[in-house]
Amino acid sequence: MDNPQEARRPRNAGSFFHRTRDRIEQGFARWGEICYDHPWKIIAFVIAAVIFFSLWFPTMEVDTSNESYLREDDPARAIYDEFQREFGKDERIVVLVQSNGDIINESFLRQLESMHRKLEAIPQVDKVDSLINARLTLGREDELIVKDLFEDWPQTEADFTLLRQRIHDNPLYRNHLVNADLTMTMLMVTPDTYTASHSGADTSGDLEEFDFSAGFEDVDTLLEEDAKPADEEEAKFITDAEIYAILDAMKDINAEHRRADFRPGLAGSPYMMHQLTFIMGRDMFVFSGVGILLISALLFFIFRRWVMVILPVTVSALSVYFTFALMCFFGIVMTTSVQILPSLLLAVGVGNSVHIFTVYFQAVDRGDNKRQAMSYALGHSGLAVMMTGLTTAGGLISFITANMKPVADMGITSPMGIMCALFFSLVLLPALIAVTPFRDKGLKDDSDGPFQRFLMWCARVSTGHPLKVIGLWFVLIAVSMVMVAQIKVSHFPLAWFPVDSEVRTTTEAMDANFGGATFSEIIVDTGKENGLHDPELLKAVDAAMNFVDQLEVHGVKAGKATSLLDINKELHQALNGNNPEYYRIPDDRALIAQELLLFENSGSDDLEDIVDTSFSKMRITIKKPFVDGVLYPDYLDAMESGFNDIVGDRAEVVFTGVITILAGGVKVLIGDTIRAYLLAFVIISPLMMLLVGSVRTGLISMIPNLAPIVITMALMSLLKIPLDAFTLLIGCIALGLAVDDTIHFMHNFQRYYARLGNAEAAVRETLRTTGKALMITSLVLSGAFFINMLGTMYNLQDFGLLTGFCIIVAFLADVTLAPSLMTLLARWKERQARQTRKTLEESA
Amino acid sequence: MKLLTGTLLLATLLTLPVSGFAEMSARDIMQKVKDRDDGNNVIMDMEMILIDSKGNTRERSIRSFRRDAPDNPEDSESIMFFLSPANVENTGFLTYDYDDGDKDDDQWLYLPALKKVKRIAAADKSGSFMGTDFTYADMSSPDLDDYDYELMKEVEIDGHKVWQILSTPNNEEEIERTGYTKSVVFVRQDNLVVIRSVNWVKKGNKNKFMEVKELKQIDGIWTPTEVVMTTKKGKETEHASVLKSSNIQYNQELDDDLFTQRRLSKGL
Repeated sequence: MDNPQEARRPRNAGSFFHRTRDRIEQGFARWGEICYDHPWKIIAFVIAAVIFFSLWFPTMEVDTSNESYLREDDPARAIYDEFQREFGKDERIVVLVQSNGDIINESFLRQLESMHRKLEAIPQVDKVDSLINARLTLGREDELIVKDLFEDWPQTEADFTLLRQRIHDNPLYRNHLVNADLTMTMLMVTPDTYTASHSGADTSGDLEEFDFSAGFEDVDTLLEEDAKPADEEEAKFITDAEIYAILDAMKDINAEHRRADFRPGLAGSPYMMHQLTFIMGRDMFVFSGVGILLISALLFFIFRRWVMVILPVTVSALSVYFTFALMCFFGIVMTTSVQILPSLLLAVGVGNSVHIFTVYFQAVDRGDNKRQAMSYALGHSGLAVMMTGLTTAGGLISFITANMKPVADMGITSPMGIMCALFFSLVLLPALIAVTPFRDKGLKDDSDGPFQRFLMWCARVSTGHPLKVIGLWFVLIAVSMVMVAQIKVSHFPLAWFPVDSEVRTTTEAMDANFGGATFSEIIVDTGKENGLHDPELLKAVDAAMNFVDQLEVHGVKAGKATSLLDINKELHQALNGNNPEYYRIPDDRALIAQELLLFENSGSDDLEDIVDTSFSKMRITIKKPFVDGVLYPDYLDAMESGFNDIVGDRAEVVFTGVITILAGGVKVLIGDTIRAYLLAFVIISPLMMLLVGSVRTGLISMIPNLAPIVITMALMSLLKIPLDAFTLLIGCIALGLAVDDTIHFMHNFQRYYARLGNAEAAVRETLRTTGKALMITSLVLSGAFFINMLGTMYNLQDFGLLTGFCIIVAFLADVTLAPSLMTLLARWKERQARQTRKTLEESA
Repeated sequence: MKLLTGTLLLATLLTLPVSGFAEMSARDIMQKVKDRDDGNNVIMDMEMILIDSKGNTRERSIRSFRRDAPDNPEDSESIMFFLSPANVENTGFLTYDYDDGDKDDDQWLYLPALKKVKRIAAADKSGSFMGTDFTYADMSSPDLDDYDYELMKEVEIDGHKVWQILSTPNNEEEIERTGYTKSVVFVRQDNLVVIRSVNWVKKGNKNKFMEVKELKQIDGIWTPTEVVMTTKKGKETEHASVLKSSNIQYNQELDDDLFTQRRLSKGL
C-alpha cells in the first residue's frame, strides 16, 4: 500500500524532471489540505463566479445558418451577404403539394389559392410564388397582356382545358411550378431579408407610433457620395428564430389544407436547417439527460455510494453550464458544433472525478482520515488530471486552424470547456467532498472481482508477451490505415434524416420532379447603366444558361433556371403574335429596351427581383438538387468555367447562393481534418514528453493515443460512415479521451517504475490502482455514448457508435498496448545499461 | 344688449380665418384639392431618375402633353415621347385616364424598333409607371367616394401649415386597384397642394413616401416641379424615384390629333 508520507517525499533527488514532478505533486497534496480546511470559501467563490458569468446568458446568440459554415472574412461569405443585400434572400421555403391525379381542377386550385393567400399573410414573408400568381405574357391582336395566370379564374370545362394546355406548354411553369404530368405543384415562400426591427414587421400599425418624418430624407442621402444609411447600424439579416416562426406558421397552414388529394410537404434549405437544429438539439438534450442517468446508475452500481454519483455528475454539469456562460460573456456565437460540447465535457468531467475519487477511497481504505485522504488523492492524481486537461485542450486548439467555421469554433469552445471541467474537478470537487457528509468507508474490496481479474490478466499478457501484443496492435493499425484511405468524404445532411421524414421525402420528390429545392445564384454584371440591353450579351448569357442546363458532372444536373431572359423571350413572342419561333432574344438593342419599357408599364413587378435599378446587373437563379456536397465542387468548377468562357469579357460573372456556400465548405473538409489532427499531434507530443520526462518515451506513448483514432476511422470505412463536418467533430472527443487514458497510465507507471524498479511490477500496480478508474470511466462513458444509437437522426446514431467504440479501443490500448510498449522499452533500457556497465568494466 | 350682440358678432367674424377653411371636413378639403386648378392642358419636359439602395441611378427624359378630355373634363388624355436614353428615343406613350374607377384606362406604347403601337392591358392602377416608384394611382386623382377621410391634425412643414389627413379606401376593389391599404396626406392650407404623403402598400408590407421637393406657381397654377417617391420596407430604403418637370406651359393650343395612336407612331 502506498504511504501518504512517502508520497510526499522526493523519490529521486538526482533528476530535475522527477524533482519538479514531485514538487508539483506536493503542491497538489497541499492544495487538497487547503480544500479540506476552507471548503466553504472555495464553494462560495465558485458559486459567485457561476452567477456572475450567468448574467450574460440573455446575450446568447445562435447562428445555424448556411453562412455560419464560413468564416466572417471568407470572400465567399462577403459575396453572399452582398448578394442578399441587393436581391434579397436566396433561400426559400418550398411547399410541394402532391395529388392523386391531374391538379388542374376547380377543387384543387381553390385549395391552392387559399393556401397561397394564407402564406402571403404570414408576418415576415416577403413573397409567395406559385401557379396562382405565375406570370402570363400574351399577345392578343395589338395588345400585350401581362397578368397573373389566375387573374381571370377559369369558368368552364373549355377554360380548364385551355389552362391545362397553357400550363403544360409554358417552359416557365413546366418542371418549375408544376411537374411534367401535372400531378404536383409547388409554392415558393421567400422570407424577408432583414430582421423584424429593420423590416418593420414588428411595428404595431398604430398611426400614433408611426414616424412620419422617416423616409423623406433618404433620396438626398442615397445620392450623396459616401452616403451613410439613415440607420447607422448595419441591418441584420433575418434571424433563425424569425424563419422558424414562419415555418411554424407554414406547418399550421399545411395541416389546415391537407386532404386526400392535396398533400403538402415542406422542403428547402431553411426547413432542413430548422429540422437539423430542432431534431438534433432535441435528441442531444434527451440523450445527454439519458446519458447522465445511465452514468449515474452505472456509477452507483459500481461504487455503491451516492456520493460517487452526485458529485461527479454535479461537477460535470456545472462545467457545461459555466462553459456556455463564458461563451456568452466573450460574445462567442453558438453554431452547430456546440451541440457536442455537453457530451465531451460530461466525459471529461466524470473521468476526472472518478480518478480523484478512486484514489481518495483507496486512501480511506488504508486508514487515512478525510483530510489525509484528500491530500493523498490530489497529490496522487492532481498532476495527471491537470495534464489530461492541458493535453486535451492543447489538442483541441488545433481545430482553430480549420476553414470551416463550426470546426474552427470547436478550437475555441472545447478547450475553454475542458479548462472549465479541469477547474471544477480540481477546485470545486475537493471542496464538495470536504463538506459532504458520508461514511468514511473505503470502496468495497474487489481484489477478486471481475474488474481486477481482467486488469491483472491484461497485466500478465502485456508484460509476459509484449512482442506479440505489440505485433497484434500494429497489424490492426496497419490494416486500419489501409481502410482509412478508403474513407468516404461527404457532406450530406439530408442523409442524416430518417428515410420517411417529411424533409427527406419532400426534398427527394422535389429533386426528382422539379430539379431541386435549393438554389444557386449567378450575377452577371455589365458594369454600365442599361448594359442589359445588349443583345450580344443576352445571347451569350442564354447560351451559357443552355450550357448549364445540359451540364452533368458526377450525376449532378441543374433544374430550371429563371432570369431576365425569360421575360425577354416571352415579350418578343407575345409581340409577334405568340409565334413560338419568336421565343428568343431580339437582335436589336433598341427593341430589347423598348420591349422592357413596355413590360415596366404592364403592371408586373417581376423585374424588381432579377435586375438592378440601373439595368446593369441581372440575377440568374438555378434550381439544384440536394445531393452530397462533395459532388458539387467539381460540378461548380465546370459550371463556372464553362459559363465564364461563353460570356467572356462582356460582363463580370459572380457565383453565389446556398449551394456554392456548402460546396466551399466541403472542399476544405479534408484539408481541415488532416491539418487539425497533425497540429494536435504536434501540440500533444511535447506535453506527453514533458509528462514522462523523456522524448523517446513521450513519442512512444503517442502510439496508444493514435491507435484508437485510426481504428475508429477504419470502422467508419467498414460501416460506410462518411467523414463529414459532424464525424470530424467526433475526433475531438476521441482525441480527448484517448489522451486522458494514456496520461493516467503513463503518469502512474512512471511513479511505480521509479519506486519498484521493475516494469512488470509497475504495470501490475498501475493497472491495479489507476486501471480500475480507467475501466470504470470507459465503461460508463461508452455506455452513455452508445445510448445515442437510439436517436432519431442517423448522424447521431453514428456519433454514439463511433465515440463509444473509440472509448473502448482507447481503454484496451492503454491496458495492453501501452504496458507492452513500456515493458519492452524498460527491457531495452536495462540491456543498454548492462551493456554500458560491461563496457566500463572491460575498459577498467 | 345691442352692444353685447354686436360684440359677439364681431368676435365671431374675427375668429373666422380669412380663407374660410375653419369648418371644413377632411372630405371637403380633399374635394378642394381635387378641384384645384391644374390647367386645361399642360406641356412639360420631365426628367425621371430611378435610384437604388446604393445610390446607383438610371435616367430618362420625356416630353409630355396632357389635357382634360374634351368630352369629359373629369377624364384626361396624355401623350409622352421619350427623348433619352437613345434606346428608347421616340418611344411614345398614350394614355386615356378615366376618372370613373370602374372603367379601365387605355394605354398604348409605340415601339419604334418594331414600328408598331401596342396596347397595354392595365386593369389596375397599382402597377408601376415607367418602372418608377410612382404608380398610375399616384399619377391620377382618386374618386373621393371610394374613400373615408379623417382630419388627423394640423402640422407645419417647411414653414407652411398643413392638414394631415388619413385616407382609407372603403371598399376592397379600391385597395386592389391602387395597391394601398391607407394613406396619410399632408395638404398645404394656403394652396391646397398635397406636398407629402405616406402610403401603406398592401403587397410586401411596405411604405411609400411622396414629397414635393420643389413647388412653383406657373401661370397662376401651383405646380410641383420636383417630386420624390421613396419605397421603404421598415428602415430599409429599397429604391426611390425623382420626377423633375421643366419648360412647363399651361393652356396651350393643342391639336386633337396630338392625342391619337396615329400621332403616337409619328413621334415628336
